[in-house]
Amino acid sequence: MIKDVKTIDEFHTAINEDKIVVIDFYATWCGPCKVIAPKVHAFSEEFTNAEFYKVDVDEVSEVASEVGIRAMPTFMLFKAGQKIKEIVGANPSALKTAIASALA
Amino acid sequence: MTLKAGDKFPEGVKFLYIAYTPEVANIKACGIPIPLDFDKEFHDKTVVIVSIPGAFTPTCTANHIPPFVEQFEILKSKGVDAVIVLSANDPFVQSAFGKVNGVTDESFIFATDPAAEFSKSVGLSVDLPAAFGTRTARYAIIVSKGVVKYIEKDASGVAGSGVDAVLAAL
Repeated sequence: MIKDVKTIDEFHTAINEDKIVVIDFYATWCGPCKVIAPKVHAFSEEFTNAEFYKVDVDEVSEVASEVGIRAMPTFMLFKAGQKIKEIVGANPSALKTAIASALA
Repeated sequence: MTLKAGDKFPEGVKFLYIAYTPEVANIKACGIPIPLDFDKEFHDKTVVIVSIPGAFTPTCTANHIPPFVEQFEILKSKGVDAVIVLSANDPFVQSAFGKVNGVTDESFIFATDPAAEFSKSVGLSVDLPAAFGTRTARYAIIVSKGVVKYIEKDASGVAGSGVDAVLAAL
């Protein structure tokens, strides 16, 4: 399951978890985000040891600008407050590989 | 207030732009406008600002911007760190204009002067008939380390704001 991040505080709490955290930065008007959404959902069911969150860059724009989002979708992997990987673009295989190797 | 060579470039100037990334170009991602903070990014650099009344309009597309794109390497060899193409068009239009001109270099930026505010503040805006509204005039400015080295406006056609004149002034 993918949890919604609605505030900047929720975002900080999420990324500071001592687990692999996958964040999907998306926009409701962005085609590629819609295309990859089902795959991200499937990954959240498959990789149960990781936590999945999503951030609507228009609704929570302070978070988007804090991490410097330039294009959507952008996926960021965090662990204990550190960003360990970033993928820009709807690239399911790159995302899957990143999650799998972070969990390995 | 008008700007002339020798003046300090105004502080606090912020434009908007969509950063080029390959993913945005091949539609695997959607760009989002972000601020371009002139002081922060360029206070110690040499920048050429080329302003056009409208992206995709005849003179700008045919005569004004392509020569800058073609001669970007030469501009860089003469010490230019970045070129900013400015207009009052929104960042999505500017981003598309950049793609159409085949530009992929992150130091060749297509940016928006929101509501032509910066241009108006230095006497370089122009009021055009209804479909266009207030736009940025056709001009070129060379700013080096926060100081205006060159500033030329063209009332019609491309002369002082063209790449040849800019290169001669570098």
